[in-house]
Amino acid sequence: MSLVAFSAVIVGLLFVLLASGVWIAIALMTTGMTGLYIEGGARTLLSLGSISWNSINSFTLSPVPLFIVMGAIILRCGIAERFYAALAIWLRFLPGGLLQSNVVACSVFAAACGSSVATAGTIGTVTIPELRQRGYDTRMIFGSLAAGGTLGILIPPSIVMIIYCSIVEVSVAKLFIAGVLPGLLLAALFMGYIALRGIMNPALAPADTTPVSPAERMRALFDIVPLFGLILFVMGSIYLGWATATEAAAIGVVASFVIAAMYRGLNWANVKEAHLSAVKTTCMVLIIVVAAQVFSYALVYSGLSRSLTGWVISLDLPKFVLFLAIVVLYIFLGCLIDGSSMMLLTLPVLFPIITAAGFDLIWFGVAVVVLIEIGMITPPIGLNLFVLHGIGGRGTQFSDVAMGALPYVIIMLCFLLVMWFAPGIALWLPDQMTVAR
Amino acid sequence: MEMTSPEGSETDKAPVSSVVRIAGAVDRVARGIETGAMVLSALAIAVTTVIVCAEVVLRSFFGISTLISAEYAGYLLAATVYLGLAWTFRNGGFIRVELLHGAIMGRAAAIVNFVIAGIATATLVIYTYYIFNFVVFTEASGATSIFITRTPLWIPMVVMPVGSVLLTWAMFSTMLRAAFVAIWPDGPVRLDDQSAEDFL
Repeated sequence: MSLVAFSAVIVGLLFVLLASGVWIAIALMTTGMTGLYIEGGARTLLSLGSISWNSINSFTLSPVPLFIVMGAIILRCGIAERFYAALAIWLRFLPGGLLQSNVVACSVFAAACGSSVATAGTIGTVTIPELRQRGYDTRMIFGSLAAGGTLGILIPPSIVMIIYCSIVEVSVAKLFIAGVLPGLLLAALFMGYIALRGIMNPALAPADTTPVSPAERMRALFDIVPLFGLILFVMGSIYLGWATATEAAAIGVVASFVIAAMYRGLNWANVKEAHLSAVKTTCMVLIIVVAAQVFSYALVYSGLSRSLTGWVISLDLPKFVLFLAIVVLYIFLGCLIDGSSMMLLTLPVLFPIITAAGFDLIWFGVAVVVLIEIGMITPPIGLNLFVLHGIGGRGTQFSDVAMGALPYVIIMLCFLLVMWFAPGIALWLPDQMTVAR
Repeated sequence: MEMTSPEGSETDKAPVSSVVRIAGAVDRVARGIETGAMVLSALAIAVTTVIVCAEVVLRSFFGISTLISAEYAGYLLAATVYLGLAWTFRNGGFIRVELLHGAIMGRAAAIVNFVIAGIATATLVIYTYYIFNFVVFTEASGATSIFITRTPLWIPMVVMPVGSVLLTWAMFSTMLRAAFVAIWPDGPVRLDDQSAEDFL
């Protein structure tokens, strides 16, 4: 079969399977196995065992369930409300008031618990009724919560980053550290936008003038320190070379137990739920990783991967145009499927192309994560938007949630452009690392 | 399979009801096994935490290593994933694009579900066959790990065929359920193929 016919069969089959509702892992597996059979007959299917084993017996991927347990414990231990209230005390002086707390609380909480969706749900449940009662603008409330939550996958620890690293074979430690500065800058940009809107129209975020005593401020610090401490500990131990990502994750689990105990949230029900949640999410994501590796092997075995890469390179496109094309592709796919699935569907094809085109794989990883963040708050399949719409209560328009998030989508796109011209934003910190495991 | 006894079933439907009851009983046993596998999967996560923490403590405070942490973290991850697959699938943990599929209702949904579960079952049968052969071949070849433990590789690999068989059965069960609903829309079988069931 010619490569063109083969590509048509593979792309057509994958599209039909996905569109008809076949589970993504099964669709990738079926397409990959069909591709292998077409190109090499039944004997090529003998490789299924080694592909599966090599992609899952992986020290790179082993932090995934551990970080999920850590996050699930944090999510259930009851720290969220007190963390938010404490942040509100410290950030109330900023223009935009509690909306600023939304961004910081969501980004820190999402980084610690590893789930943007769960963060939007947890913090949103705490804040939406209160902010509405205080007369905050509906779109600003939903926008800040939706966008703040997305930062969790950029600020380490990040499951999406670990999966990216397992596919393109770069250091998890380096990618984690590479996400720090962009994550902080994006948070600052979000807060800057809120401040600007707050200054231009104070009615959007009425100031809270209730007096707070110094003693209250100090007490609030005790509720802020544990989560910041957990994230700093995880990042610091990796950055200093004291621990691998897996080791940092395991110690993170123990630390989350300690935090949960401090907040009287350490009990059998929470530990059990955290582990069940870890089993479910790990299986959900990593079976797609296995299937994506089968699909990827089919593309390589058939020569399609090499030919496609050669063709794209022969077009002699400027790197920027290629990047723009990838951005458009990810924004389009982000409107249809969830982030990690989108990444796993596309990386087998894109990885050889971006490598041949000379993209830095760490920089590209950060860019992909930002694009996934955009997908999380872009309708119609913006998971954060759904969750916030769901907890918004009666009378909440989905359009308000989506329109509230739109300015943040624009900010993230502009940020990608800045990152293109100043790649050091992502690469400077990892370049300073002496040890990367 | 979520199957209940039909109320006031007619005589001509009795054989069908018997089939449904038997299939339901078999599926309940399968669900029990899947839940047991899921418990092992969760335990694998806990054991990973313990092993890796032990490695960090021993290395940091005593300057020694367990020498197994990296190797066993990989094996335990494989166990976590493969042993948890069927339970995850039954509990709605497999992701799909819902844009078109979510819009189909009633009998049409049952027919579509039957087709896609059929494709998935076929794929998984072939996959399981080759995974099983791979483990048998590894055992026969006497392959061991490259680490100091020299673990015979077929031992940690066993989770792959076990998990694949359980997932294949879960998928087959989904296909059967969809077939029942497509043929007998008002019958005793429900289409909620991924209803959560808490066994613990």
